[in-house]
Amino acid sequence: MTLALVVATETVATASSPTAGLALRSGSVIGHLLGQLESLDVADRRVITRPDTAAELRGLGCEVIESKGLAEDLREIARVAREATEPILIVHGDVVAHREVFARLVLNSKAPASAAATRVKPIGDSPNRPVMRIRRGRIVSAGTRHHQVTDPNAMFRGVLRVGEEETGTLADVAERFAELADLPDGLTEISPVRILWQSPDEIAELLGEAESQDTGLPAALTSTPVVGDDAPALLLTGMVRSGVKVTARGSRELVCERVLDQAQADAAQQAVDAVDEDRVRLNAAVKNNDGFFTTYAVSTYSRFIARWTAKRGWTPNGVTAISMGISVVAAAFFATGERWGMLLGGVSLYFAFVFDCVDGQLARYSRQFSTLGAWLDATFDRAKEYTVFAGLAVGSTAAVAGSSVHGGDVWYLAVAALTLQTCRHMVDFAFGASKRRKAPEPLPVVPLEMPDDSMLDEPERAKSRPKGGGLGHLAVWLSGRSEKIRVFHWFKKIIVLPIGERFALIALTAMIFNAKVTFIALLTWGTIAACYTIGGRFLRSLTQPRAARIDA
Amino acid sequence: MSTVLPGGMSSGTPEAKDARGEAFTFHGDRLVAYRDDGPISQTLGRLSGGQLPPLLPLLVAAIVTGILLIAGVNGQTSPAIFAPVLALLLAGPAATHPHSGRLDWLVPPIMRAIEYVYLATLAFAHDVSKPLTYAFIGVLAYHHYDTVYRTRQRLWPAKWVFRAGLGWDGRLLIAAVATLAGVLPATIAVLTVYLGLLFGIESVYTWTRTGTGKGVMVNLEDDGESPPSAEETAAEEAAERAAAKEASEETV
Repeated sequence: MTLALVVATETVATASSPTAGLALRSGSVIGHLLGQLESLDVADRRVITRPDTAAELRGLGCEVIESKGLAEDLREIARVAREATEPILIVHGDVVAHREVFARLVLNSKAPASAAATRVKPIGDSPNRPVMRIRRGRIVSAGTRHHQVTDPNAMFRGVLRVGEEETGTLADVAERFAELADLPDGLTEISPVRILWQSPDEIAELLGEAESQDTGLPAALTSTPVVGDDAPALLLTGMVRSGVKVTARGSRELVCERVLDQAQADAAQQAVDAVDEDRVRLNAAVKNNDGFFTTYAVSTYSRFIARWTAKRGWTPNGVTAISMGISVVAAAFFATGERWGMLLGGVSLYFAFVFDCVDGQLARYSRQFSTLGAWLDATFDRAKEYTVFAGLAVGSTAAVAGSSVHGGDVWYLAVAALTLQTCRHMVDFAFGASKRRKAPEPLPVVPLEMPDDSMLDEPERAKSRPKGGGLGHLAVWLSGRSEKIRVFHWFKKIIVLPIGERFALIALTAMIFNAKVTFIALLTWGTIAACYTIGGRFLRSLTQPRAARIDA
Repeated sequence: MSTVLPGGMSSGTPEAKDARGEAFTFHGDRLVAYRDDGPISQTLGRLSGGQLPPLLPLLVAAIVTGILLIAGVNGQTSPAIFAPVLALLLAGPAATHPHSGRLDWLVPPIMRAIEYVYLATLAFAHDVSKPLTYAFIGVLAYHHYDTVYRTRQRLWPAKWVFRAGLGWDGRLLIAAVATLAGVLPATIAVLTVYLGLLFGIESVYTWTRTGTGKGVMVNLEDDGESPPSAEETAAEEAAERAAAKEASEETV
C-alpha cells in the first residue's frame, strides 16, 4: 500500500487557477491523476494546495490540505511522512502520465527512493524543468531553483517515490527545507546548470542528434517554465543529498510530464493517446538479454500468448506446469522409438519451450512474482530437459534394430550429457557467486542549503581503454569491444549453447536423426561451450584483485 | 543474514580486502555450500582450520581419480576403488576454507565432475541398471541445483540436510565399499530412493512453505544462461552507454 501526496500549488501563469485543474478529455488533470492512483490501490491520497484554489479541488473526494506557502507545504509533508508506515508517492497535481509510469513506481519499485526522469541531452542554460545528473541509473545530483547541477543529463518529471524505510529521511529533509524557506536568505536563487566537461561545442554537436532522437516528448510539452513553489523537486534534491540511493525511472515511450497551461495539457493528451500503453508494457515483459533462438523464434510471438493467458487470469505457475506437462508428453513421444514419435516429440519440445518463455513474460506482464514461482520455473526447466534425455534414451533402445531411429544403448551418453550440462551450470553459478563486488561506499551527504553540487560525485570525463595490463585485461577489453558488433554479440550468445539453442538442437537432431546423434551433438557443442566459458572466465578472474584478508 | 553453514562457517557476505586495501564482497559462503561436503570432509576441514586452499588439491584429486578410473573399474578390487579415499584426503581439508581465491569458482564444478563421473563409471562397470544410474545422478543433480536456487533466495538448506545427504565424500566412499562387497547395484538403488525422498521432500516442503509470499523479483536463471563474458564484460560501460543512448529502458 502506498500513500500519495499530490502537490497542486502551481497556478497557470496568465490566470490564478491551478494547473491541476486544466482540462483533459476526461476531466481535470488532477481528477485523472487521482483516478489512476486509485486504480493502483493507492487508497490514501491527499492533495496539498493554496487556500484560493482549494475550493476548486474540494470536489475531488479526497483530503485537501490548505497551505499558504512553500514552508507550510514542506511541514505538512513532513508531518505525513513522520507518521507514515508505507511508501510515499509525492507527485505534482499537474502531471499527465500513462498509468504504467505510476504502476512501475508503485508496484515494481524496491529502491529506497526513485524518481521519474527522462534523459535529455544536452540541457540549455535555462531549462524549464528541474534537472539532474544520472549515473548508472542512480541520481547523483538533482537540482531546483536553489540547487545547481553540474553537467546535467536528465530532467525531473514531477513524481518521487520514497520507500517506507526512508520516510524518516523524507520528513527530516522536508523539515530542514521548511526552516530554510522561512529564513530570508535560507534558499538563494542560482543558475540551475554548471558546465564542467560538457563543452559548448559538444553540446552543439549533440543538439542535432538529440532533436531528431527525442521523439517521445513534443517540444510544446516543456515550453512553459515552472514558476511556483516546487516542493517535490526540493525533496528529491534533499533525498539525494542525504545519502539515499535514489534511482531514476523513466521510459522514452511513456509520457510523464507536468502541464502548465492548456496548450500543454492538449499536447500531453495527444502524446498519451499516441502510445499503445499495453503494447509498451507487453514488450517490457520480454527479457532483453535472451539468446538468439529465444529472441527470434519464440519471443517474437510468445508475448501475445502471455497477454492471452493474462486476460484469462492464468497464473505463471500454471503456465510453468503446462510447459512441464508438454515436455513429459515430448519425452513420451521420444520414448516410442518410432519416427512419427520423434517428429511429434520434437514439435512438442518446441512448444514446451515456448510456454517456458511465456511463464516469465506473464509474470512480468501481470506483475505476479513469487519465490515459489521463481523456483518452479528454474527447477522445472532442468526437469524438462533431463526428462527428455530419459525419453530419448528409452526410445533409442526400444526402436527396431536397423531403423533410422535406433541408436542402440545410449544411457551412458544420457548420463554424460546430464553430467556435462550440470557441471556447465555449476560453472555459471559458482562464477556468479565468486564475483567480487566493490563494497558499497556510503553516498556523500551534502548540506541542503549549499547551492552548488561540487561536493557530490563529480562527473567524469569519458574514459579511454584499455586500463591495466596483462592477458586478462586484454581479454576483457576485447570482449567489450566485440559486444558492439552485432554478429559477434550473437556469436558469443550462441556459442555457449543457452537453453533455447539446446532445446532446438535436441528437437531438430531427434526429428531428423536419432537419440545417439542428439546426445553426441549436445556433448560436442556443450564441450566447446564449456571450454569457451571457462577459458574466458579464467582470463577474467586474473583481472580480479587478489584477496589479502578475509573477515568472514 | 547469518546462518551456520555445513562446514561450521558462518555465512553472510564476507567482506574482504584486496592487495590495494579496497574492500569488496563476494559470496564465498555460497561456494562452500555448493561443494556439498559430508560429515567426513567437514571434520577434515575443521582439523585443517580452513588454512588449506581448495583448488590445487582438488585438481590433483580430479586427475588422480581420472587415472584410477582409466586404470580399471571392472574388478571388485580394481584400482578405482581407492579414488574416493584419495579425493577425500586431498579435497576434504579445504571444506572450511573461505574460497576467496580468484579461481576458486572452479571448485564446485570440478567437484561435481569427479562425483558424477566416478559414480556413473563405477555403476556402468558393475551392472547397475542403466536407467537407475541415470535416475541416481539425476537425484544428485536435483540436490545440487536446489542448493544453488535456495542460497540465491536466501533459503539456506539446513545443516542436517547436508549431513543426511552424506556429502560427495560419503557417497563416493559408500559406492567404493559397496563395490568391494559386491553389492553396488542394490546400494545404488537404496541410495537413489533414500536421497530422492530426502532431497525431494525436504526441498518441496521448504519451498512451498516459504514460497507462497511475494518473492524478490529474481530470475534464478540469470547466471545460469548468461554468456561468459557478454554482459559481465563491459557491464559498467554498457550500462553507461545504454543509459546515455536511450532512456527507453525501464531504469534509465
